[in-house]
Amino acid sequence: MRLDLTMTGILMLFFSANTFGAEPSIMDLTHSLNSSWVVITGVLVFLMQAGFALVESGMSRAKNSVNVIMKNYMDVCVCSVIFWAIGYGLMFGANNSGWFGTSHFFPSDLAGWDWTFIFFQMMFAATTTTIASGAMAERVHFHAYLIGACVIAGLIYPVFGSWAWGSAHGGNGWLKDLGFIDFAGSTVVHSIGGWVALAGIIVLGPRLGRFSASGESRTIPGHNLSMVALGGFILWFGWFGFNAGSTLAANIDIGKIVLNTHLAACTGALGYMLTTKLFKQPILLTGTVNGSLGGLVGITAGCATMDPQFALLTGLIAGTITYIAPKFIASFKIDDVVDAVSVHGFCGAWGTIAAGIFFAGDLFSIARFSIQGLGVLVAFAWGFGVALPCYFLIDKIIGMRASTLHEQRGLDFTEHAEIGYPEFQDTRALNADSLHSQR
Amino acid sequence: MNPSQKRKAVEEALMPFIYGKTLADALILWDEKYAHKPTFALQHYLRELCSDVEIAHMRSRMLQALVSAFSSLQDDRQNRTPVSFVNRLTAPTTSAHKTASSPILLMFMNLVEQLIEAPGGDASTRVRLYVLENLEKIPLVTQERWALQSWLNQIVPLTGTPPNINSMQQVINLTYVALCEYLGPIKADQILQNTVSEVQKAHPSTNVNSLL
Repeated sequence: MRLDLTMTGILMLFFSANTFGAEPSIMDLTHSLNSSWVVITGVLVFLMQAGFALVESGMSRAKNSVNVIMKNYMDVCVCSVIFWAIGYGLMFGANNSGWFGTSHFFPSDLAGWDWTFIFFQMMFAATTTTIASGAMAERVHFHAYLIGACVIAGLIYPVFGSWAWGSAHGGNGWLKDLGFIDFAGSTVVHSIGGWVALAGIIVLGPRLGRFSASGESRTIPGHNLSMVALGGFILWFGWFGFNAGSTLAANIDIGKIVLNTHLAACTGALGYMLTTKLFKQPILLTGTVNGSLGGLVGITAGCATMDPQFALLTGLIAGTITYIAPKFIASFKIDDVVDAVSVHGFCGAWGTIAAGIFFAGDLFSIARFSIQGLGVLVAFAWGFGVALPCYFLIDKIIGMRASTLHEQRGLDFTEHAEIGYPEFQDTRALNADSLHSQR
Repeated sequence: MNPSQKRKAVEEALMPFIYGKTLADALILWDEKYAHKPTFALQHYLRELCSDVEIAHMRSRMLQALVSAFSSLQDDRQNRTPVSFVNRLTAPTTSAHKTASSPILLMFMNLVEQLIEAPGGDASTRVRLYVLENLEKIPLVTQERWALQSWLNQIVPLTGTPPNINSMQQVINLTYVALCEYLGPIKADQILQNTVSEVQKAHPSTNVNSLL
């Protein structure tokens, strides 16, 4: 009885706009439900920013923890504005050429559903940009990073998005026309973010002492593994919105999508664990969290078009990738603080391929595999190919890399004049007078 | 270290790698161009010596051998000296240096020496060489650079007007970078924190953080 009353109350609130007007039609109710669903899932995707902030900050040293969180925080702010102004038009504006949208810049006069759609897509854009943040942690200038984020949200992400997902206002992207499948963005969001991150960390170079002169890779442990675990849980939670919201409708498909999402995350962690056992290595918490994130990234492309047993397999292989790929990247003396390139770039590429070969009803289709492979390669060429010169230019013009003195002091101090843990962080090696004078 | 001791150290260090005429040529090169240069010139010597491709592949091992040989010489010298170089600079009883050097300069020298000596053995020598080699990247007036090089080569301590605070910060940072390179950033941070504490205890009247 109590439950019935609660449900009635919720429904009354839900449709209150219509209760004072004409009787709502089934179509009105459907639109309201769809819009509510997509807004709620958009909010869940927004929550993923908190997850990223916790994971990235936890994997960084205490002296850089504030800087990492600040990048995540400002990512959302900067990217949302840029995406609204330019990105949405490029990605979803009228796309007659198949290459980019040409309308709906600075949108201000749209129908009701479009606002919902812009909000949801804005959260995706912010997700793409924040992927680079973790990879570049502990040695990038804050302002240079934010300029890079603007380029991602205003150019790199929306242009590739228009190829794979465009358009909402007439025309189609060329990749979409070929039959490219990327349901929620293994490639569009995650791989693009990963390849951009790769370009960024190549331009930046490794942190001081990350690799010895003889090429030996040195581990630089993060300062708070509890944050990493909590961040992993929050990302996992938000991912249900990320994938299930991509239906853009509150329909019956949602159940399978969230189930596949969850299963892939589980097997991602298991895949990592089994691989570590195979190589007789300890099972690290950071690796386990990245394993589940790899599974989530992997299933994002095919979560709506794959049967659960293949979702399990997709996650399992993605988890294995999160163990192997970081070692491969480190062998080139490339320093990825949170293994973002492996988790988002490589697992996204794998997930996109998996969406083609495990497509329900058309398993192991060579044609689908070829189109998916083409999409993966194009994403790399575009994401990495544009980001590399952009970061190079930013580096030349304003400087990307923090000085060695800043690395010694920590970016919390040098970029923000704040310390993450003033009560117990060891501040003996900081110039406290300078800290106060900067504020 | 006198020139003949240095020459003997070079000869002994290179003998496992080269012999006969090659060794003789290497010693001639040492005598002609490097014998009277400070220790930090070892890298330059080896770079020139190993321009011959036949021995180029042994360069890093040769450097290690040279550094070890020079470290041994240095250890012998320190053992013979009743009060170590750093202690002489900072001990309250050594009034000559105390009057000649400002408190901030004494603290600076103490901090850098302790940072360099913290790893111990060959690693300390490598850190010292790294700082010496990269000193030229710091914008300094020539006299300041020479003074710093002489001091880091343990020839003449710094006296008189201290370099400006930015220069001192950069030298300390250079030492930190060297520690990161040779020991890794975690160990480097630990050494920096511990050394700062110790130096602050030794110089309670001056704020060591102003150098960081």
